[in-house]
Amino acid sequence: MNDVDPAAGGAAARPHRGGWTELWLKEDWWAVWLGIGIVLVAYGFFAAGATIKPIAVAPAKWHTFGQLWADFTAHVDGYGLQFLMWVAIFGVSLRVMGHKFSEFLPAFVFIYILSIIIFMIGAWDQAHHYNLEPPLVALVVGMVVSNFIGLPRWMDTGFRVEYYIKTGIVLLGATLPFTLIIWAGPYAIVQASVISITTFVVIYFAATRLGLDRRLAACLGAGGAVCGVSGAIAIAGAVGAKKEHPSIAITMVIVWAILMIFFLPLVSRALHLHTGVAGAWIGTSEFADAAGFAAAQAYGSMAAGLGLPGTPDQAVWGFTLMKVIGRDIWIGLWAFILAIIATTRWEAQETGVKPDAAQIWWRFPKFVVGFLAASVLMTVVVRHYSLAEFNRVAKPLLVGPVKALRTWSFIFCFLSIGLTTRFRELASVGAKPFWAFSVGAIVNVLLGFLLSAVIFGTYWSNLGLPK
Amino acid sequence: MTERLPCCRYCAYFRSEPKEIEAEIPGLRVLGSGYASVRAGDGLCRRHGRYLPATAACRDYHPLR
Repeated sequence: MNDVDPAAGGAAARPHRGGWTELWLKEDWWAVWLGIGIVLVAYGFFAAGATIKPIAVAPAKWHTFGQLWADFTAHVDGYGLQFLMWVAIFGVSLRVMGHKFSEFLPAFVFIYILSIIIFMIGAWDQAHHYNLEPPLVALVVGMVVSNFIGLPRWMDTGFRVEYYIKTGIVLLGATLPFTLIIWAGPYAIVQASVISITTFVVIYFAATRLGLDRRLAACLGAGGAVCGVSGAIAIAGAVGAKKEHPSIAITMVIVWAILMIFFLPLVSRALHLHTGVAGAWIGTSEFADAAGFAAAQAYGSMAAGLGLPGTPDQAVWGFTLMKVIGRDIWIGLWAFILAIIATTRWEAQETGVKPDAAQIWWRFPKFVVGFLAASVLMTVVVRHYSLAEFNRVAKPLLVGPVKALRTWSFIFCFLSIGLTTRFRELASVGAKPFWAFSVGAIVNVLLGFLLSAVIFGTYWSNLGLPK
Repeated sequence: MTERLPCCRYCAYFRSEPKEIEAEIPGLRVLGSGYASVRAGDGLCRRHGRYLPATAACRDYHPLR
């Protein structure tokens, strides 16, 4: 054992403040407050006969630079107001969580300006001919800047990938009918369970057969099977992994997840997959929420531009149901089961950990609560509208603006992925973890395609269609 | 009877602040976060080089000053 001065290496440790403080110290809860807050404000305006549409502005489709410029100058006030809104809600919440506002503000100015440009590129009527889908462009631009140009490290305060995606997911809940979650949830859970268990077993078995530590094998397995980086870090804690284990698993997740952002939409396009099917496949075979939304949204707009079957919404819905409902929400259960195995079979005495079933809730991704609440809320609000009334009134004045703000939050996220992915700073992994994870990833992709396109293909193709 | 040891949460070797965890674990903030619920109160033990739940315990416990 190392002899380490407990006070060395930074400020004196503070005990973890759990309980109610999580409500304002965890990103998940803040995503709930912000997402639900926006939905309530949107509804308040709508109920009063107004709309938040002017603040939920986004570039319109354009063909010539003249059209683009005219649209931008006509809505410049809306962009200004929207910028102030994001700065206020993200800036204040990040400050409460312990970040410096003075670091957040310039970083967010940078990301907001880039986001407008990327939105504009995506709104070009020829964009799909050149694969200029906003998520893919954001990712590439971000990675070029971070890996070839470089930005000061303090700017990472404004590049909060998980925070932006979680806020976007809560807003997404408001655009996803709750009845669809109830109807589709069980199918998603069955498909996700098959894929999660199979992928975990393959990676774990391959890793241990290659002689890797069982705790590293568990981190790799959870990273590939459950929810990417979140899965790897949650399981690392649950099984008491060595310090380097989560870093290795996280590197594998990042490399494969970024590869899949490009691979899955392009293969889906080559196969002319229905957007609902592709969304489910991406939800099954992508490793992280943020990366998966980039892939699903990219394919949705790609398919719309090329006239492939399905709608962009179906791609995002299929992905969300599969990944968030089917896989993410079970991380606590995975952690609990693996903690029991780790402490009863792997090392009963070493860390004195007694697995507590309460961790199923502690580790529960709380933003899902907001996602479900937003869905229920909006479903209740619009329940009295006929389809025609919904399309004429509620969609443009209430649901549409919320959806536009969701898209902004996603773009901030996609850019942040690129801006924080510095390949030279990732942990080196070695051949054995690489092959163990890669075997599982390949099995996952093939099995995911079989389940999404063949076994449940008809079901995902009809996702959200009137029964 | 089993002796009850104080848990890592109150140990000086244990670091669970999100900022420190993000700095110590490369790549965590790319597609994840130190501020996420899934991390619960887990932290790094600087004594044993392990990433542990705050409820873990061992005989090397060193109280916070």
